Amino acid sequence: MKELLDKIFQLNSLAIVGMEKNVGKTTTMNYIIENAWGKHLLGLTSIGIDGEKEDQVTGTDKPMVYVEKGTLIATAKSAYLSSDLTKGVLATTGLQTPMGEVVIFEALSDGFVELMGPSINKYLKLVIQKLKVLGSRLVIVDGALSRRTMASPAIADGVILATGAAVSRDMQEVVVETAHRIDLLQIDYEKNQEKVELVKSGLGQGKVCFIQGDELQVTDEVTAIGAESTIKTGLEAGAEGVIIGGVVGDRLIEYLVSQRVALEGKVIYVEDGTKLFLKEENYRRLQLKGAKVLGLNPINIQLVTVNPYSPEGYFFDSSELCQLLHERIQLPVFDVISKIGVGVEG
Amino acid sequence: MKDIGLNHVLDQLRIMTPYGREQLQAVKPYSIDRLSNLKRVLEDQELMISSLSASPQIYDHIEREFCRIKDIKGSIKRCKNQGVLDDIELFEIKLFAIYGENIRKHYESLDLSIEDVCFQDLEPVIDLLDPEKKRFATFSIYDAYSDELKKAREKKRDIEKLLYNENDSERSEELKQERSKLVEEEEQLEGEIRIHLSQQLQQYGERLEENVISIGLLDLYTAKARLAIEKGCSKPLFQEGIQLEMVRGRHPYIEDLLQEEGKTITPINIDLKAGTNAITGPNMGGKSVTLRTIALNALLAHMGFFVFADTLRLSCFDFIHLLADHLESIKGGLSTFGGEIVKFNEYMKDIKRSRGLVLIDEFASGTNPYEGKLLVKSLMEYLQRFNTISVFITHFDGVVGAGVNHYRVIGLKHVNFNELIDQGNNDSKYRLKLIQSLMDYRLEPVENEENVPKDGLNIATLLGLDSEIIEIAKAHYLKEVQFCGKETEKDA
Repeated sequence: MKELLDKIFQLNSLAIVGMEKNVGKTTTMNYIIENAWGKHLLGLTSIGIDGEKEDQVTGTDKPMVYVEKGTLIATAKSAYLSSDLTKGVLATTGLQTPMGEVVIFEALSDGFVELMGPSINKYLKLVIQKLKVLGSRLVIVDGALSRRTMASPAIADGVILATGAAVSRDMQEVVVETAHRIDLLQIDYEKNQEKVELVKSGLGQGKVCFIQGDELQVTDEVTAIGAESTIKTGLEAGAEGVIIGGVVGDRLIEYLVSQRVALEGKVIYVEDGTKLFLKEENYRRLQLKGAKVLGLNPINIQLVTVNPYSPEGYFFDSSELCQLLHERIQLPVFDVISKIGVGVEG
Repeated sequence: MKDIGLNHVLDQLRIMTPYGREQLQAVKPYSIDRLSNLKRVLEDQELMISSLSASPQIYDHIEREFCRIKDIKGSIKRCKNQGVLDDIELFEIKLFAIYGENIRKHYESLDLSIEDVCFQDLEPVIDLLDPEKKRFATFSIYDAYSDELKKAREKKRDIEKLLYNENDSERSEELKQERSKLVEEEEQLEGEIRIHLSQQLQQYGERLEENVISIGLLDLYTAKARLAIEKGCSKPLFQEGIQLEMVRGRHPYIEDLLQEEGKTITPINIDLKAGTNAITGPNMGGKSVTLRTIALNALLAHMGFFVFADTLRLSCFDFIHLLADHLESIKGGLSTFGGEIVKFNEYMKDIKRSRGLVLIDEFASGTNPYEGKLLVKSLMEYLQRFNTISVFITHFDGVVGAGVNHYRVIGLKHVNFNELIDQGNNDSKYRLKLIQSLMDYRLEPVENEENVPKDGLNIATLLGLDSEIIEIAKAHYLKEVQFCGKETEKDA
């Protein structure tokens, strides 16, 4: 695990995301922080929640992490005020969130901080940059895999995915769902530089676009939802690819399949794997039909952490779960409670 | 007034602070009772321009500080109103004071005394928020504020060290409880310090506000000075009497447009008197641009800006009105004409009771030419008796009465059309550019009502109007003896 951790601390930024609530994301975060203690200066922030008040009321994760003196934190003003350590303000950012302006401060003592960062990619990037400029060795972003967030963990150099018993009562299910989520997160990314520029430009339009050769055709549709027939028409008219800025869900795929749209060789471009909310069977269908899904920004999963306990009271055999996962996904897997892992030797 | 190009000028001002932006929003034309203020602003502008040329590095330093200035009026207001400030507000005030002091020192080294730009000493504010005298651009409730606080924090630190090494979860919980109590104590003490600091800062609230204004004004004036230098603007001269004399005046928007095409603008000289003035000349002769050049520069002068001319001598006007029709509108007809009359009536109210500048572009062109001409002629005669400077642009022939100050665009007077028309090239875009390049946009005074050069037919021919039509027109022309002004050059 040491070599893996060393590798992680070489990154500029690291995002930690969870399959669900209660999969130990905060525990994972604390684990990384503990391992940096006394060694590496950390910068911390989170991907903010961009949603109705309910999300905040029903308690979508507002992690309270315990940090070492000297840590740099970027969080919303109200979270700053409720963090219980001795703190010093380093900068205001002018970036607004529903919980106030994002401020950057230094922990002047050990203690608990509440993380509420920006919810827009552009702002998140600025915050990460600022934390690095102020001296962080590694910036850790507490992330989210929600449809509601506009900011994406893909912005970080590396990602840790937290999973656990909370995902399902059936251990096999946990493995299958986690593996599927990883497949989606780790979709291939476009490597052809010209195509990349085209896709970037398409995503910048704020509307669904088609690619034909080296030309971009912009439609009037803002999201894929409701645009199914437009996409069908475009693909049938010969477009090689479609660029979708937001979420790509089952509805679109099921529509294209049921309408028997010829998908061989067609490409669906998305910002990154976090935008895909597809059932395993629909993703497989796409692939069987010869279609590809490519992301603009790659997601590099460094580690998968496991919490074998569920809040509902049941738990799994940790080593069995880790072993099954590791075999299926070929990535290092680590139990953050028992601190035992599989495939974590560097 | 928007379509005279004011926004084009204002958008080019490089304003760096939110306070500067506010000052810009608040800029209005000065009225005659504030003429001395206006003159002072222009004098200050002049001083600033020479200062900027003499010491550019100091202005660079100031600019660097300007970039860091954020809008903290909310925090200052709370400070003045006895609110208890939080860490972030204290932080913002501290930084504002540090940057403000830097700006003050740089400004004082310039040895200028610009009206209303007066920086207050904020050193005491910094001292309050920097008990350790480190002058860092950060803030926290420092240990130095209170021994009690220092001790509480030390105790807390000791517990945290134990907590870090504690593996037994029960003992951990106990330690966490102890720590919580100390956290509470710390927060209590910090709260008291914040109240105390807020009280101490209250007396400086006004100083902070004055610096906000001074920063805003300095920012605006510097931006104006930079623009004036860059664009070669001059100080407008407000004089007694009723006049507007412009030497080598330019329209900044057109100038920029032409520059993009690698061309230069033709500057205009004109001397306007009280009563009626007229500018006539061919279509595409730049008359509308000239009108707007006069309007824009006059307005800029009244707003305390340097103008886009080598010289502008003018009176302080009570009003500046521009009556410009949408000549391109195909609608035309009575509705546009009706609108003109209504607007003109409004302007007449001002004209009757005070003195100003009225610019009228192609009045009554939306009605039949016979009546149109009569109306324009009557209007021009009527306005002669007033103190207001009125400027008419018209393409009508024979409306400029005796005694009216008359200018004409030189236009294509000196062009040999026959040569041109014989030239092979049939491309109308090319021909258009040719006309533009041959057009002499300068104005010349007209002594008496000579025959207006009838370039309409020539321009139409040059632009490729069907030769059969040209022949028919020529035949009519020859028949005409006294009827002036066939509107063949009027675009639909």
